[in-house]
Amino acid sequence: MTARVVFKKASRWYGPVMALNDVSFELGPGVYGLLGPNGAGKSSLLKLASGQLRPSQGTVELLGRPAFGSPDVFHSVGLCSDTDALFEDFTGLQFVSALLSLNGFDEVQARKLATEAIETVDLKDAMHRKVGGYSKGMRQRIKLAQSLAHRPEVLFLDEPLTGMDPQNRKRISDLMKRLGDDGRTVLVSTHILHELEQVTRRVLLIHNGRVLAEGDLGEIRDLLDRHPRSVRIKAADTRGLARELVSLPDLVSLNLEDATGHLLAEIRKPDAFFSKVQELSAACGVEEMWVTDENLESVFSYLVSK
Amino acid sequence: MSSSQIYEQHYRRLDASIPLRAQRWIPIAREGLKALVGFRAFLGLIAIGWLPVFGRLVQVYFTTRFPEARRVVPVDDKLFFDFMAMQLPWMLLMSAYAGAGLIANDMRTGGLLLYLSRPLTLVDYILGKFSILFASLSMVTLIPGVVLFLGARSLAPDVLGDAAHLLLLPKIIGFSLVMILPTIGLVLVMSALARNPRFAGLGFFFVFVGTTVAQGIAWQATRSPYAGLASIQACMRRVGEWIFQVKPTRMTAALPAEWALLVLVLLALGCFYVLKTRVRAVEVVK
Repeated sequence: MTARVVFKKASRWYGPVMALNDVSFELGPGVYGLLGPNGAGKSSLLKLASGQLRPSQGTVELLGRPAFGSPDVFHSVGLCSDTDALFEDFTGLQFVSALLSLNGFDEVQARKLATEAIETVDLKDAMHRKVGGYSKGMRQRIKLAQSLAHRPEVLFLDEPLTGMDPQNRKRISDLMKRLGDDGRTVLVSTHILHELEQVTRRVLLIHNGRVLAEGDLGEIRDLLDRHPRSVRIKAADTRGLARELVSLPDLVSLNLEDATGHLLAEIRKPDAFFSKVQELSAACGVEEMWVTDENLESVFSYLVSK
Repeated sequence: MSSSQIYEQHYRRLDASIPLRAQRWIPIAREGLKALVGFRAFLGLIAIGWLPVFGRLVQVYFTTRFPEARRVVPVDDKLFFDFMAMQLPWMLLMSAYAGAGLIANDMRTGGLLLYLSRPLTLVDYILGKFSILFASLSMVTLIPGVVLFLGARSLAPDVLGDAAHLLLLPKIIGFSLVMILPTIGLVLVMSALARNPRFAGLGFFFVFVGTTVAQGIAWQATRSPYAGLASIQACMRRVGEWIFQVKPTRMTAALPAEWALLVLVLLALGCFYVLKTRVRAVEVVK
C-alpha cells in the first residue's frame, strides 16, 4: 500500500488546549471514516491532514510532502470543509469553474470539469442558478463538486452528508464508495455511525484528541453489541409487554417507571430486541420506542472505559 | 449513468510534485473584478471619478482658444498635480467600497479555506486581492491622469507637445502609486482585522481622518515641521508636490518630502506584514 496521508506522532495545541495528541496512522487508497463525537478533534485532524494547520509536534505528510506549507500538493487534493462559505453571487457553474481556475485550468477546461462534477452530484438542473439561492443540501453538494472537480488523488470530506435528503445521501455515499474503489484516498469525517457504515468498513475512531481505535467497523459494532443500550417504550399494555420481553436472553434489566408508565429496558443485541417488540406491537399497543443513549458520546464513553 | 466521468475514468496517478504555475493570483483578481463590475454603485463611482477629467480637458481647450487665459489657469505641472490631488477623495471612497469586504468576507465566512485548499500560497491570495484594488483605484487615479495628459497634449501641442513635458507621464504614474499603494495596504489590513466590511470601511476612514486630526493637534502643540508626518494625506500630498515640483501648501511646506515618502513606504510594508501574519484560513481559538 502506498501511504498518501501519514501522521507520525502528530500533536496540535491551541494555547493550553490539546486538540490532537500523539496521533500516528497511515492512509492508502480507499475510503476511511473519521468517527468521533463533537469536540473529539476530527476537524483539527482534517485541518492538519489538509495542510491548513501546522502540527505543534510530530509530522503530517500528504503525498510524500509535508502537508503544511506545500501548496503544490493541492493539485492532487480536494477539500470539502464544514464551513458554509460559498461565493453567493456566482452560479453553481461559475463557482466551481472559478475554483478550478485557481488550479491552473483554462476557462474551457474549467467549465468542462465543473460541468462533469456538478452532474456527478446531481445538480445539473441548478448549475445556472446563483449559489446564494441554494438549499442546505444543494450547498453541500456544490461544495462536494468543487472538491471533486479537479480529480484529486486525496479527498478530505468534513461532514459531507449534512443537510442532504435520503436520496442524495445514498447517491453521495455511493459516489464516495466508487471514488475509493477507483483508487483514491477518501477521508470522511462524521459523527453519525450509520452514515459511515454505508460507505466504508475502515474507520479511525477519535476521542479527546486521541485515535482510540483504527480498523474494521464490524469490530466496533461487536463492541457496541456488548455495550448495554437503554430503550424506553410507551405502550398501552406495558405489563403484558414486560412479561413477553423478560424471557429474551440479551435483556440485562427491565423496569416499569411508575411516574410515566414507560417500560425501561437495558439490552445487548438491539436488533433482536427491536424485532421482538415489533412482533408484539399490535398485541401490546406499543405507541413509541426510542433508544435513550444511541449517540456516539455514550458509545465512546463505553469504549474508553473498556 | 452518463454523469459519472469523474469516477468512471478510473484511477490515474497524478504527480504530486506538479510545480506551482506562475501568476496564480490572476484568477483571484479576475473573478473579484468580475464580481465588482456587476455592482452599479462601483460603476457609478468610476463614472463620477472621471468627470474631473472632462472638466480639465475643457479647461485646456479653453486656454487653446484664448491664450491670454493661460496667465490665470496655466497648462503646467500644477494643473496635473491639482487634478491628481483632487482624485484622492474618490479614491478613498472607492477603496472603502471595493476593498472593505475583500478579506473580511472570506475570513468571516471561512471562504479563505476555499482558496487555500488550492495550489496557492497566502502571498498569492493577498496579491490577488491587492490586484483587485489596484485595478479599481487606478480607474479613478492613474488611468484618468494618463488620459488627461494625452488629451491635453493633443489639445495643446504648443504647450505640452515638447519632449520635456513627456516627463509628466512618469510623474502622474509616480504620484498615483504614492496614493494607491499605502491606501490598498491600509484598507486590506482593516478588512483583515475587522472581519466585517462595514467596520472595515469605517475603520479605514477613521484612520485617514484620524491621522489628519492628529497632524493638526501635533502642529498646534509643537509647531514642528514634522507634525505632518502624522497624517497620511499630508504625506501623500507632500510627496506629490515634490514629484511635480509645485509650491507646497502652508500645512506641508515645512515637511521634508523624503520623510513623508519614508512614512508611506513604511506604512505599505507594515500593512503587508500585518496581512501576512493575520490572514489565516483556520482560526486558532486560544
